[in-house]
Amino acid sequence: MAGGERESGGFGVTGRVSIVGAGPGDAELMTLKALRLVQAADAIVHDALVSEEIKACFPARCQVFDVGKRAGDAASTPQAEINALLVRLARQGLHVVRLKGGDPFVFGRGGEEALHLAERRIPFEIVPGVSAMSAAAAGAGIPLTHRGLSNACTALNGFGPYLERIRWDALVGQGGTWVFYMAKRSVEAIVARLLAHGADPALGVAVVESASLPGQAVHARRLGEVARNPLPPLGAGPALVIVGPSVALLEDLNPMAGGLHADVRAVSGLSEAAR
Amino acid sequence: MDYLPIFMKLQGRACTVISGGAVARRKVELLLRAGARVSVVAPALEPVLAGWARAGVLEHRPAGFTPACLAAAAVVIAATDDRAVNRQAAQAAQHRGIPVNVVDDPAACTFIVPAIVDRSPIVVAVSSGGRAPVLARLLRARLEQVVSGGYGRLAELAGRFRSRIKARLRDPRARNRFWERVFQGPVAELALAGREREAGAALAVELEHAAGRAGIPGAVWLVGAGPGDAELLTLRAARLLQEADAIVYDRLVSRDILALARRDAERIDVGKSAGHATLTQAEINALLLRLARAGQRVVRLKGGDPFIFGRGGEEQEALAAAGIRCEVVPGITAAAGCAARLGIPLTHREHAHSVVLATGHPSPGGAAALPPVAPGQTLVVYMGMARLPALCTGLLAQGLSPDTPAALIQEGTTERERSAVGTLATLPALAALHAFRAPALLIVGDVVRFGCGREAGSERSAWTAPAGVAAGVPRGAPAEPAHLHVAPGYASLNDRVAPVAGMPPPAVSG
Repeated sequence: MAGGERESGGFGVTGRVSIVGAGPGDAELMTLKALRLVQAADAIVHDALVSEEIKACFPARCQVFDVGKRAGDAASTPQAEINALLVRLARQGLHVVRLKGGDPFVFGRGGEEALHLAERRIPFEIVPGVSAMSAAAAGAGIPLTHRGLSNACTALNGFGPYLERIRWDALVGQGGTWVFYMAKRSVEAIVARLLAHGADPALGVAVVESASLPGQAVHARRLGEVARNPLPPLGAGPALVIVGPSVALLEDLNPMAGGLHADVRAVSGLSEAAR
Repeated sequence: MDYLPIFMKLQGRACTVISGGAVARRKVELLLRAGARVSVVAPALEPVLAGWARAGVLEHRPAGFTPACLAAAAVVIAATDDRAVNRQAAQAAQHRGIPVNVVDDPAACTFIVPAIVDRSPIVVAVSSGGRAPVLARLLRARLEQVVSGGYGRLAELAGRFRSRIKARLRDPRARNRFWERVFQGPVAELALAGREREAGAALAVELEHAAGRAGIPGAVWLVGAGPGDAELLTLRAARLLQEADAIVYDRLVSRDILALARRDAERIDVGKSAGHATLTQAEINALLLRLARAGQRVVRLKGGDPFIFGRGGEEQEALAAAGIRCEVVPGITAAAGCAARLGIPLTHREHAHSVVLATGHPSPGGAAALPPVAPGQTLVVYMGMARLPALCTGLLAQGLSPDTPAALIQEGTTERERSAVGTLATLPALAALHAFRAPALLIVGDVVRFGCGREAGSERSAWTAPAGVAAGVPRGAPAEPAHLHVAPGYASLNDRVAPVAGMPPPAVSG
């Protein structure tokens, strides 16, 4: 590609960093560009959210750094160290791919890394990825916006400490669909706060675990039912909580979630379930 | 093309070769392999030809050339080292309408003999039109490596099954798909590895499977095509485009993306573009049902993500109600695509704990278009270009500061991308001055001032140029300056305000 020559020529011996969204986990939901960059990378610095299937696409000769961060995990690498690692690798003249689950700019902290690189004059680019909310919505059959039901969608950080920052009154007033990322251990707290701030108990709440991955699971209730009928405990995968009027469409749409990649028997089961 | 390559049936037909030398032997050999009855006209034969003549493999006419030698020949090849004799033979053949080849004399030929890779029944012929026979031979050598002997076995196997498959799969489209799968899947691998018996068994299983599926109605994939750049398509979307029978697409789907689709897929534009007849949502739903019920594999391709302002839910509902199989393939929504281009993080640990995606399109009930925005939220407005001044005024009326940073990006991630950065107070005038048009995305919030990803001259990548980065990061500073970007065609970050062709330069305050 002509662009490649210009890039290396223009930047001399300094390397560069591509901050790349790897999508929700299913390797087929990577973009064509992400795959191209990964396969040409000199070094890859990746998250815990990057799946094994995606790691299998890494080229053999490339340096790989796992800086995985999981909520509350002591083994994770602090952001400052990740920033420093990116700078060090780029200054060795390498083309570094910083691969992040989902999209780098939606709860991906890509902005902090980009800024750190910019301040050190290291060339970088941001390559968007399919965000977890799109994958969860597609997998569960919940449109995040839907004519007549929801004309906005708000994505929030659902990880425990961040719940304090949310202005719940304002959120409930906004309406639309609310998507809480990293909400695995906060499902009950989220439901309780929404109800306490006047959310309609008839609104649907869905927990989508491991969206797009083989272990994908969807559990749904009405907000007002959760106290009596708690959502089942979750497994090891990342989880998203979706709350809003369009979650009610699940009853109609969820049977489709088995997907077309399933075999003939499963498919016929699907159309029965669709009744 | 100087010559039309055709494959000629010579089984049992008379062919005449003039000359009994070594060059003639190679031509005789080819003719014999094609099943021809060969007569060699020459006073004497070289030893191999002589042996074949004695064994009755060919007929030897021990004489010089006379036109009478050509009687009833299907093809004539003259290979003597006497140019005059060759020309005489060529003339006589042409006179009788017999195709003739003269070795090393292209001008006298009515056909030429290509370099051949023979993996019968697969045969590849290469010709340089007589200009560079050595090059043709080298190409043949390469092709011999690519087209291994296994391809002959694979074609042989396919030939044995052909009539059975035609009987079981009556729909030509289904047959086509079946063969595509067979020739690229495990059956082909087995045949290429020389495991013909297993390949045959696998082919039979595939056939049963395909025949079992044949009665199943079609299916629809609601596929997000991403923000515009074809490289931001997911691998799944790209694969489905290659497998689709029909593609139903929107105005927001670019030509580059459609170029990735299977060549013979039916393409249906249901795009809503001003001045053109468009389909209503109900008509689109009906179209999807009709195509799926006809057994087609339909890709419904939408800009961005199907479930974020893509009306995918409505289509999925209609399909579910009709019992049609449907799968949603998520895509990169415009907010993520445009944010990446401008280097604007939609969420930020300190400055944006959440992001609201809203539409500038008034809802059918006429309700307030934009939801109230709380501090610490990023607001992204889709389809807001037509009402940009009213939207900004509405946000100010909500109590947002006129200094709130705001960015507008038109046709983000495409080659026609343009963007402008200002504040809620300045952006509408900036957009009007530079004639921004739909489709455009509005991003409002403190994170806009972090925008630092900038062009380095390439139209497709968003590399930052090191020289100007410091100037490009108005960190913590009030976002007063109005920036305008037009891709491609601006070079460095020091020059963040790029002139738009034919327009006055934008007002830069600060």
